[in-house]
Amino acid sequence: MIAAIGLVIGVIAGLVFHPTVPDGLAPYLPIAVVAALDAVFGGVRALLDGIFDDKVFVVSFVANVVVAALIVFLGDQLGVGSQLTTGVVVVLGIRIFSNAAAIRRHIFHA
Amino acid sequence: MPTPPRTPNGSPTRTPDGRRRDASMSLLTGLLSETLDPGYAEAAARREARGESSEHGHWTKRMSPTVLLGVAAIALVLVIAAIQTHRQAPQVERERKQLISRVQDVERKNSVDEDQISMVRAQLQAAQAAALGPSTEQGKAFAAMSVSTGAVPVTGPGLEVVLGDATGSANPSGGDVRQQGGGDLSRVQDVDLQHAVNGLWYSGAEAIAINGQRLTALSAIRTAGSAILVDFRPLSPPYTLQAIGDPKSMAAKFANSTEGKYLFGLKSQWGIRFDTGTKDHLALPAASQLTVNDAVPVP
Repeated sequence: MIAAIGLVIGVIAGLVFHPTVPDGLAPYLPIAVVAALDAVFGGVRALLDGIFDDKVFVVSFVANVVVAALIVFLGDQLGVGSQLTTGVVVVLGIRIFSNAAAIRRHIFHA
Repeated sequence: MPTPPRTPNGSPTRTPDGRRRDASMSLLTGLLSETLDPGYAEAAARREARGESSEHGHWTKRMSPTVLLGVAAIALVLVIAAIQTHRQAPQVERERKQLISRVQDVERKNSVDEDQISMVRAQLQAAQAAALGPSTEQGKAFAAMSVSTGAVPVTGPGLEVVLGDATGSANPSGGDVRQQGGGDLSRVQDVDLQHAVNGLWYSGAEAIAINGQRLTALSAIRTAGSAILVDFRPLSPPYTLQAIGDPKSMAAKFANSTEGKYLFGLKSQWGIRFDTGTKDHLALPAASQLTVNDAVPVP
């Protein structure tokens, strides 16, 4: 219920304020998106595992976004930014897939 | 250390001091097995240690304003990304259109400049002719030279030759497209235009223009991509060659020349459009390019 309210608040905030991402932060948007999806799938899986924890959920999301952005920022300074972006997306993508699979096993028992 | 309630992928073997045996390959193993943030397991372990239950059904108690904040933040990020993506698409399109319009502007400006050049050149021509006098020998020579170099627009009777790509399908006679060097031979090639121009000069043409591009001693006819360039200007089919000269003798001579036969061959073999017709009145523009940089006349 609270999650649904949060979802609605976030969507409405995004639609109403139309926040524009500054050009300097634009390269980090894809990472933030993948980290957000990772947090969602991880949270749902933890919920189904019965070990969901709100603090872990929020902190892991924020920390993942920050760390991923830092890695890519560092890569940008060293000339390997796009490769590191790919790396971050691959790692988080694998996690999303595995968590999605775990969720599927929980729901369908298959 | 209390063991977490569930290990993600079964229970890996551990050394007596509690470390995983495959710790040296921890990067890949961790990547593939620890897909759930270990923090969840640790938090659950802590709760269990405090004596709280971590069973299903009680998770609603752990839903707090923190979750609200986190979900809102995630939703915000996703919405921003979606909006950004949809907003950028028209922007890319707009930039493309701006580029196209800039190219078109420059082209328009070019043609205006060219018109001006040809106007000034015509004035210069008239002034030169007036200075020499029309009846003097130099004056006549100057007039003849002006025509043959393409410096002035000319009119007169002549021959019109139209070359066009084969109509209809690319296979004029049932899959009979010859692919030679990648070129579609049912289309007019630069070589064909060169043949036609050569044939017209041979037949006694005094001035030739292709699609309104006057040919001079400096003209080049060549292919770039799929377009034929005449004096570095892309032309589009059909190609109309206008040649000023005695229409009757030109028509006969052109039809009997090797070039004329070559073009007839193209017509019968590939279905390329090839029409010739005599005209009583043709008007050819002056050449757009007459600049000579290095050649100087012998004094």
